[in-house]
Amino acid sequence: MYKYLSFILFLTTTFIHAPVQADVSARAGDKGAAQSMRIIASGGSITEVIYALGKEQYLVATDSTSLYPAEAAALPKLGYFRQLSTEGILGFAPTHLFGAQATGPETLATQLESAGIKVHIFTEQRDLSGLQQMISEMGQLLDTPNKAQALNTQIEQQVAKLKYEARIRSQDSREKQGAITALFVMSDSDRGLTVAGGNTVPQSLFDDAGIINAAKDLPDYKVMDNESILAANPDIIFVASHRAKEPDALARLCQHPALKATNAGRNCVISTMESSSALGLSPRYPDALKRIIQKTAAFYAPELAHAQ
Amino acid sequence: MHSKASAVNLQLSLNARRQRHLRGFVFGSILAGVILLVGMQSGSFEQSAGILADVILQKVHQQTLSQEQYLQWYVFSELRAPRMVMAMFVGALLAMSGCAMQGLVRNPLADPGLIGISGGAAAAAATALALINHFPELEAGGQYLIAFSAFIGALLAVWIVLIVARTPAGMAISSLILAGVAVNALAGTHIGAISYMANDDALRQITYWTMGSLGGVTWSKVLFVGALSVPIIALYMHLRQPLNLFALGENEAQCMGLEVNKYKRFILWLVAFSVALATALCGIIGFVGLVVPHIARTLFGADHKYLMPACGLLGAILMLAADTASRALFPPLEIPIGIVTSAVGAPFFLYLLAKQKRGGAIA
Amino acid sequence: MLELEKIALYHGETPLLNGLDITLKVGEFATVIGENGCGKSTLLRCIAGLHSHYSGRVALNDRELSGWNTKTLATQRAFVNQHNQVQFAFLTEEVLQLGRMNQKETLAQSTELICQVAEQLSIGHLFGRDVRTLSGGERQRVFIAKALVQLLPNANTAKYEGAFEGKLLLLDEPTSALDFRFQKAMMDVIKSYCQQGLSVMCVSHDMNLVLPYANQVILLANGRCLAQGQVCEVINEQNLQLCFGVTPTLIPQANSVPFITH
Repeated sequence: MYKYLSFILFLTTTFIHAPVQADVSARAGDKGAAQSMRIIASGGSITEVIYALGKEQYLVATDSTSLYPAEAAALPKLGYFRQLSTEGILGFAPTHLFGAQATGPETLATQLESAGIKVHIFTEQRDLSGLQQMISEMGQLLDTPNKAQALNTQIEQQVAKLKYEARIRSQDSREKQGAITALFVMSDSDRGLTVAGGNTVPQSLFDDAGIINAAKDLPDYKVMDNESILAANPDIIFVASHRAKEPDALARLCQHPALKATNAGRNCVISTMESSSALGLSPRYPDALKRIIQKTAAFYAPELAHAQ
Repeated sequence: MHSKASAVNLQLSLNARRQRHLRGFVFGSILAGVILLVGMQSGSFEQSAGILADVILQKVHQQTLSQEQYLQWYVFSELRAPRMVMAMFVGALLAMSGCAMQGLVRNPLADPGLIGISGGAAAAAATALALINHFPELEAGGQYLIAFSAFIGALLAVWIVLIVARTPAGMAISSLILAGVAVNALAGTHIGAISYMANDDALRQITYWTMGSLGGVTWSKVLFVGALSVPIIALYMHLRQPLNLFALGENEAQCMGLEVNKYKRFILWLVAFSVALATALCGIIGFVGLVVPHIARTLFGADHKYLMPACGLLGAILMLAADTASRALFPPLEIPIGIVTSAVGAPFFLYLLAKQKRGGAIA
Repeated sequence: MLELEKIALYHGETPLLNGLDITLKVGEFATVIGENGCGKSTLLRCIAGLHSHYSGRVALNDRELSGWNTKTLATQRAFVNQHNQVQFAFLTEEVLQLGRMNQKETLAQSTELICQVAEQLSIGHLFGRDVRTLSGGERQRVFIAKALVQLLPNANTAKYEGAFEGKLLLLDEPTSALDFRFQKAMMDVIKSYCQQGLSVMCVSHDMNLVLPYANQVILLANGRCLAQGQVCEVINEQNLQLCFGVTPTLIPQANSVPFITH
């Protein structure tokens, strides 16, 4: 009896004894490039900003949500940012961890700091000024404050310009109609639509574009009941791109019981928004804003109606 | 004369059995040592006994360590070692609780979760997590709040179960189990409500908590659990004879001199306390209390005199192996340990059910 | 050594038996006879201390049941159920060893005693077997043996003839699963313990087997004690007719205990 048991256990344990999967160059480069940073980035926005500031050569690994730009997607992945493994991180011999607010588990930061890693957690931001703050902070940490400043200015100017355009056109057509209402759909299931409510990035985008969020009274991301959606009667629907991948996804969504009878549903005025820029704060905020303004243009100038 | 000979025979066979079991314990301890050694060297971070030995030597000689060596030592002493020791304590606690539970309800398919412990713990932890999320001031002591809530929640659930199941004539085991089902359902409703109202962050955290993990284990937590485990394990050892008697039936046990009602309550609370402790610190780790007593029974027999310590040992070994697997299977990811134990335990449980259905007796 | 005064037994709210006055002396063998459901087993369980729904006084060796310490009581009285179930793979000798749990003895001493009893009940060959795999009759013998083991005095006390004085054995259908050979063997063994002072109260349907061994017969019918006393006093056509509702045929035997048949 014992023989069998011990044999099975021995097999299992030898199998499990898997050697490290960590970056080989990590070991090799340790002694030589002692001065340069080795950064772990946790959170898609964080990673994006590092790339935007041109410091991507210091990145060694990221979490699973860091997929933009394409080069970031190719970096080693550490898992979901809310549940990272201390050991896994240490395997890359990093010097720094830059993480979004919800980086976890709670003990991660303390453990990494005890191991000599510098940890910086960024407070979560939901609007443009927050984004700029994050970029400035990052600029300081990466020792490139000028580039950060430049980036911030660029973003600010782009957004200001877009906001101005949006305001102008809505003033022009004020006689024709009030502000339009939009709804940002995160996911849909037979139980209901999960939408972006107040205090989210889509809310901030809508505010800057001068349109009303149909779900503004809901906190964060929540399921909105069908009746409230009908009452709010959105004119246009935006869907997170990762939830609308099949060809007829948009058409199906227009047929959703909650949306069918709304202005948006009846005319099937629905567009996708790239998830990482619309749901998380990133330097592509102006692009997201531009897209929203474009897609709502038809309401303000029917003669210039675009096709989807 | 005749009976003298067979008395000697009986003694011999009893002694032989004892020897066999003791050998089993020694073997188990050695196995635990082997898994400890393997576990020490497994995981995303490369480490081997050789490197560690060098580091230890350097420390002994008070020499300063290079950055790399420091990391080696850190990973071993602050990350892996506390986890593995915790795994052993938690494994022993959960397995012995399962053994006591099965002995008490006279059913080899019983699990401490039956009396609502995990439901209560999860419901309370979810509440705490949601509160912390809502009131950032609580963030600082967050961990302690969650652990404490889970502990209280588990005990509260058991208390409710005991009240519901109590009748003037005593407490029938069947009503206990039914009350446990009801409390678990209640807990589920509560968690559902919290999950619905929670934001994304809290929701994720609740999910991760229920999966059970040894990720945030520190030496202070280990010392805390260890200090409590010692008296708890001593109490389980004290319960060996009473559990043997329970196996014959409560009436029999009473007639043979066991204060059945007193011991019933005592065992239930001890099980509640030990599982609550384990759950509060590590989340929900299932199937250990169900599966380990089974394996132990096939190897060591049903006599709790040997079965109980065997469960402790086997539980420690199982959790050690599970912890090693959780770190070593998909580096740099760490699989929550509750998932590892379920992945092994659930198929095993199905196999047991099938075996029982076919008419064979289980362990 | 056993006194039951004005006992009324209840099953929930329903009264089962009423007005029972029973006395059992040292070394006496009493058998309780009655039709199905009349409360025989409940009476036994009440005396054992397992059934608390009763009024009246049950005293063992002049002490009321409630005044007994559980452990001490276990060394004075043992109860053998009709059906014995074990849920886990306990071995025969492990079950017997449990009977000695209240005694401070060495392993050698307790195994000696266990083997003595095992010898008498011919279960020595069942050592090492899982109790659940035994036949009904074998298991019954094991549990009766366990009860006897439970009552054996501490190995350190000097042995003398009246070692079982003041001890009570309660048996619920002890021979129901036993074959022809062991039925008699079992009764002989129990009677031999009576001669050492053991008092026995036995519920049995097998009147012809048990009556020759009984000093006292208690007939229960219609919720009360119909008759009690010696075999020759109690066992007659009229009483049995009242008890069971059928007229029996009594055939006289050499040992003055009539053979009862339909």
